[in-house]
Amino acid sequence: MMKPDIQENLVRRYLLGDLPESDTNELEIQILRDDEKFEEMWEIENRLVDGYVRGTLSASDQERFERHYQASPVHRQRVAVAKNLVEEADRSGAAVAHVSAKESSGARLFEKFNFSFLSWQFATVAAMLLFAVAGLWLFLDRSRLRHEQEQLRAESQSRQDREDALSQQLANAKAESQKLESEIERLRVERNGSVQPPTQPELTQRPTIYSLLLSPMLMRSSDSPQTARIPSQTDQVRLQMRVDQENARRFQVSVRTVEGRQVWEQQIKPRAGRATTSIISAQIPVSRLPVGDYILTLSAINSTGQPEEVNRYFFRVIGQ
Amino acid sequence: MDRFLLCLDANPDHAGRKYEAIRQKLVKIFDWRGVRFPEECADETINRVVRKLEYGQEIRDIPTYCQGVARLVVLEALKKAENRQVSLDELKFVPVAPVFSEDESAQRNCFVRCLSDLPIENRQLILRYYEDERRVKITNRQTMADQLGIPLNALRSRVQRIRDKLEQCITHCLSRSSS
Repeated sequence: MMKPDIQENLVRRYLLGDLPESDTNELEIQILRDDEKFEEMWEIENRLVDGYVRGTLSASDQERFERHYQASPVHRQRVAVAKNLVEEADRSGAAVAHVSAKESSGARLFEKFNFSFLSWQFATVAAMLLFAVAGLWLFLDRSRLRHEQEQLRAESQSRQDREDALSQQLANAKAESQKLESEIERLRVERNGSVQPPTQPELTQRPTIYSLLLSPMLMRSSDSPQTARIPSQTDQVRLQMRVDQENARRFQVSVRTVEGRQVWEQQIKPRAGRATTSIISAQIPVSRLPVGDYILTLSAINSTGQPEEVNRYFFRVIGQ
Repeated sequence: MDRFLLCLDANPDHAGRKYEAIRQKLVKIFDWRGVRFPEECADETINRVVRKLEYGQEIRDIPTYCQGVARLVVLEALKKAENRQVSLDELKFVPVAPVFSEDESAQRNCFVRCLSDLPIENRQLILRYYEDERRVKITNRQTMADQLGIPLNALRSRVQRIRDKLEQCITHCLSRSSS
């Protein structure tokens, strides 16, 4: 297999009519058999034509090209097409290259001043960031202060509203009070003109009771009779007796002086005491029991309504 | 023709593709030989081979046989052209019209028209492929092949066919404009 440059040289000689007939025949058989060789040969032809158009052929090749290759009108037409094609391709490539060169020179300039440019860039970016952060902080702080100010203003307004409301309530209360005072005064004046109001002690005073539990065993003959020392402000004396008369429904209490004069008498219902006893309680105005010795006779009222004596009690009333 | 195809390949599809390939190669061979009508010569070559086969001649190596026939056709075609040239040379006093600049203008117009008629990808491909190799390194073509995802020889083949179509378009354009 031939080397590429030898193959190209052979093809060029073929195309320029400088190849012996035997080699020409062999080359043509090769390209008829081998598709790849055919494609290579076609490209070598294009390269030869383009080289002629661009003026890159050697003088001898150029002379042979014009004498042999361009002898064919088809080849002349091909050369004309190639001339326009390479011009268009070079123009198109130059435009792209110009843009690329601009970008490349820009890139070189950038690389040359890369450090300083980056330094400036970083400094600028850092300054901008600093300003941005400071601005943001100021904005937030101002917003916060404005918010607090609004809150204080609202609280102040609320407090003022409450004060106003309380002042109004106080004024209303004062007015009501004055109205009531004047009403009371008017009523007092009206009342003073007719009936005196009762004094406070009289209105609230209750009767004072002196209690004494009597024992039936104590009689007039014993040495120490039951004594009732009744206070001076006592209103009534309550005399209480225990009895075992379970069936009695009513009792009769009769108080006489030892001389036989009846002081007080009353029928009384017993009050329940313990299981087998009852308490008879007789409440006697103190005015009926002046200082002296007394006999209390307790009688149970039987089923026929007649009193049956149960016990007698002896007691003495002395002063304070 | 059937025998010719059968000699190329037993598979009819493969035989058809090989026929087209041989015809195209013959056209280029006649072109490179400087024959004025390469396609007519290629067809004449194939017809002669087919006739030989029809006459019962056994051909073992079709490419070699075709080349031998083509060589004869070339000689015949060149002889015809020489005869025409001689007859034209005899017309010593026939003036030649100076139409070169006009031809160039027509060439340019047809080139621009035919180039713009190409699909944009083909147009860009052919212009980029034929950028001045002194400025653009040969690796540019390898880069193009890589971008298209095809081998370099496939790229070369594709570009050559685009260029061939462009030439045919311009030739047709010029013939119309001249008529």
